[in-house]
Amino acid sequence: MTNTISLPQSLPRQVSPEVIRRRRLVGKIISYILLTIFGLIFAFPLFWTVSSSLQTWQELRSYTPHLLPAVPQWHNYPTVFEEIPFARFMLNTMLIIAVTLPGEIITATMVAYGFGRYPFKGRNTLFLIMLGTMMIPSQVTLIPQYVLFFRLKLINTYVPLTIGAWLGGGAFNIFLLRQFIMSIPLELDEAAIIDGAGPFRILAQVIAPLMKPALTTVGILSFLSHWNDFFGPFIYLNQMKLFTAAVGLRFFKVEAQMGQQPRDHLLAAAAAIMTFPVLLVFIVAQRYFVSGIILSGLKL
Amino acid sequence: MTTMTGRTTAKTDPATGKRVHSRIQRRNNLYGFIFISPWLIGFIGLWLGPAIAALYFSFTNYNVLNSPKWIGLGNYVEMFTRDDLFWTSIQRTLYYAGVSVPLGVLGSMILAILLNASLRGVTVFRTLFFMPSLVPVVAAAILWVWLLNTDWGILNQALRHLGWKHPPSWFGNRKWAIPSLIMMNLWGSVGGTRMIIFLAGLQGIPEELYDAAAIDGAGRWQRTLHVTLPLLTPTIFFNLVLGIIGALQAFDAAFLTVEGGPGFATWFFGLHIWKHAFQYFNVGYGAALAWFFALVIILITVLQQRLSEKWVFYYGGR
Amino acid sequence: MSKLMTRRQLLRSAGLLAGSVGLLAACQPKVVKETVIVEKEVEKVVKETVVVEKEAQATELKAKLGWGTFRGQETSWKWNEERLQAFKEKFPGVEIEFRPMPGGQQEAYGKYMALVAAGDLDDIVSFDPGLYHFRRAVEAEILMPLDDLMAVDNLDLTEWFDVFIQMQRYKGHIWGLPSWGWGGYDCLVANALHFKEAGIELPAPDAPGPSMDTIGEWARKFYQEGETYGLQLAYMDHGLEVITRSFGGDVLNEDGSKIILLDDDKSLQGMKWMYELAVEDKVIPQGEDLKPAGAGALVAGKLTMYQCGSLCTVNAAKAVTDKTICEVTQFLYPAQPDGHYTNAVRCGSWNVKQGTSSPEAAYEFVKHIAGREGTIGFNLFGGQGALTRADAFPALEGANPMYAWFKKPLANGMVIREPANSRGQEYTDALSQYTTKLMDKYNPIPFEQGLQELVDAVQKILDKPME
Repeated sequence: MTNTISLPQSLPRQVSPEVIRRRRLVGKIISYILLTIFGLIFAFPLFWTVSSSLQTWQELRSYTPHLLPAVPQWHNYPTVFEEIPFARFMLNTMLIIAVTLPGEIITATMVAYGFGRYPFKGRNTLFLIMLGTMMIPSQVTLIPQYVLFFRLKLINTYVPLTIGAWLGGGAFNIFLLRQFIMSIPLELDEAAIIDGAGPFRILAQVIAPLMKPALTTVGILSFLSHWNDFFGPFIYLNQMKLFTAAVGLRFFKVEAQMGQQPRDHLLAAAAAIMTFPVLLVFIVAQRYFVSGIILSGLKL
Repeated sequence: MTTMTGRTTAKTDPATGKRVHSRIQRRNNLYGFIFISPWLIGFIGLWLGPAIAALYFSFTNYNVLNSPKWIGLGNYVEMFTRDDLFWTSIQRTLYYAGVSVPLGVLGSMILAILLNASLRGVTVFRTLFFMPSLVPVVAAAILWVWLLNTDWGILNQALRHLGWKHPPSWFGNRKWAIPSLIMMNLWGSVGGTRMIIFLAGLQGIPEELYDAAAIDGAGRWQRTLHVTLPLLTPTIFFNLVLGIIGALQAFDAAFLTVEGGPGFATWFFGLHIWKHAFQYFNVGYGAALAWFFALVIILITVLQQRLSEKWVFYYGGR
Repeated sequence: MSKLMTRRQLLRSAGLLAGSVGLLAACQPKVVKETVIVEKEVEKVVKETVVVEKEAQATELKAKLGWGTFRGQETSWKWNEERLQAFKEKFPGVEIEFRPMPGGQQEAYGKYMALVAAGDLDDIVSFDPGLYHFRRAVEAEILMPLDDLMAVDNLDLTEWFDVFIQMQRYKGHIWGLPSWGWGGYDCLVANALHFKEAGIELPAPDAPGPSMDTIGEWARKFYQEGETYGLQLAYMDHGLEVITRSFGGDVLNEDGSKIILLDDDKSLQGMKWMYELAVEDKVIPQGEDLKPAGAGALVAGKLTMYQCGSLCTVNAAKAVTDKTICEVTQFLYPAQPDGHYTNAVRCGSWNVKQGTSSPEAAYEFVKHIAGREGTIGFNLFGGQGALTRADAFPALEGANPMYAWFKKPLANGMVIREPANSRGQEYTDALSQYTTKLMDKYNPIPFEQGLQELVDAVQKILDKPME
């Protein structure tokens, strides 16, 4: 297996250091401009969500919407907590994540390792089958799955919502991690085998440390999907005390067709409340992401 | 003998012509299964049964309130011959996926490359870019309908300033509804998880490859073209596969903004399935649609997998 | 049951007593006055006994039930909790577990179906009659008819508006009591100031409205390109129903098996009226042209009238910030030749599951939440649509005098026509999508072609079997 990259035969002519420096500076300026433009475009939704959360529902429904509230309705936030037990809901969500996050990271890595490093009999078929599970829209298996959990007397518990995390964590994570594992050179495995390491040690001490960026990605994705998941908790939970934040958000949705009074301002406030922890997690995880690369050192 | 995605050391005995299972192969089999066991258990226990049940439903008329009635291939026949929306939704979905996925993957890749440069404040930008993904899709839908309003939406106001006198009615006009959704999707996904995955992929490229290329005199553009891109191909492939699977099934945004309209303009296949399974309670028909869809997606993915041999380069070896 | 027998026996003996007294009185004229007094006494005793019987019954009733619904979440479930509390005081022996279903009505049906599949449906549920899965649920024997319980209890069904009770009936039985209800898209919410400025006098908000020609004229009159719109139409089942009815037609035939927009001349006229305004004269805002539509545009002075329901008027009035731009009022459609108001009432239902462990307790609870206090609470807590009873109106009017406008149309209204095969969601989806396509001014299609497409597609759905 060759590891060399072929470069084109004709290389650019040599240029002076000043020109290089100037080119770099221009490049940097362009990059900054592009990044700022994109940054503003992308950051807009959060700004708008917060802005809406501080308006009255009449302002929100008015013909030309306002970028900023006339008078910030700070009381919308405590109202959200008064109207529904939102704090409890958020606590429940975090409980679920505390169980699913480690589960997904650990088991997805295991399974990806199995699919990526051990060409066992039937591997390709099983892998394609696994991909296949992603391709069948979930709505169809939903009702039979519900009946299954019902027979097992697991409705109104967190088990249906968390057990998947400890059984591989979903085809997406496995697929992602497998791709990463396959780009890690086999020589590392072989070196460890010569040192007398068994498969588990190879995974824990050689492969996993090199996968920190991918594992962080899986972690972030896992957190996000469970944080915002509405349908699972909606179907499986019956009691208010077990509801999650995503379900709570729905409380503020009204049916305009029936002439009901809008609660958009509360919806925006609740959405903002839900967004901040995720933002926090992302900022923190991101830093680890970067330092993880530096620490693990890709110098081989 | 090499297989598609794996190395196997099974050898053929020249004398008998039969395959010899070496110790390595047995070891592979054993550890392979041990490591994938969590998934296997979940798959057999929690997924296979329900999926087979769904397959069974696809041959029945079943509305949950009554027990299923066997009708053989009835649903499948209806799908291809009597359901006008079947072909409509396929066309809409292909249009949407065919445009949004390539653009999205390209966009995420470019942003990731931009961000990967060691500029100061990169972490700030990364966070900003990720924000659309953090906002719940319900709120995002409201936001985009607002942004794309015909009269006072920001986009049309900008377009009028730039000289386009009568910018389109984005969500109100059948011709522009899907492009509107594509815009919304790109904005929501380009800086999101796809970009993070590209970042992870970029940071997985060994430094010394760049150094080697620089020593050989390659400029920044050259390095990007000949080091970054080839080594990014696994990530590109991954994002393409998942992007297509996702886009083909997508309907959340279409549903929340225009509910599949106007005039079925955004009636995606995923929406069609969901409507039949969950609003009309034609569970049997919905199951048939879903299984047909699954076969199509599987076919497309297998095709992609086969094609990937031509252009995807795995640094660690297949 | 033994209590009831006792009451009947008591009534019989009381009647016998009264009868014999009366007979005696007939024979002895001077005892007449005393007879009347005695009769009154007997009546009082009977009444008191009945009350005592009922109270005894109440404290005796023991059951364990489940209540699963999405209704009440607009009040953050406070209405539900209050009702449960009040019920507990009346019937301490009945334990009810409340299982809330957040989200919209359609999501709730998904959950109901899952519960049915697992055999875990709650005892008291809410399957809206009209367009959704009510008939299917009845056909599948999920729900329990309440006729017998109502008869024994002597329930006075006129407490609710007749239209809503009509909708609870199917196949000769009555399946629930109204949970919420309103006149559907029964009016045009309007900006009174625009009419005043134009010197036009509007009819009273609860009187039969002007002719459709007049309304069309107004739509054209108040349209100023790029500035304001005169009329906004709702391209869905609600809207089509009232407009075709205003011309004397309808969307479906009486039993809901056929769409008659092409066959019935009057219905065709209604569709043509809309098409002319929307596609030929182009005076109707389309899709997202006007967003926020309805109240938002009205309140900002950008729209003169929009098709909506009586409750929208109430909410639009609440949204007014500048009284010099907008004054909210409403007017109705022209009345039917037989005197009925032209509307298409919608309502919900509180139903009882077939096979519930305690039909009596469930029935009592349904009565309780559909009763006067329940209905008022449902409305006042969040401005919702529980306009199902005449006796709730004084309290509502006290909170907001506008509610007085809704009484006449509700008391004298028309029920909607629903698809016979209960495929309501498919029907409404097809109807609204194809109508939007037909009325598209940006990509116009010929009227006959578009209407034919619509009718064919909808008829296909109506031809499907119930399951």
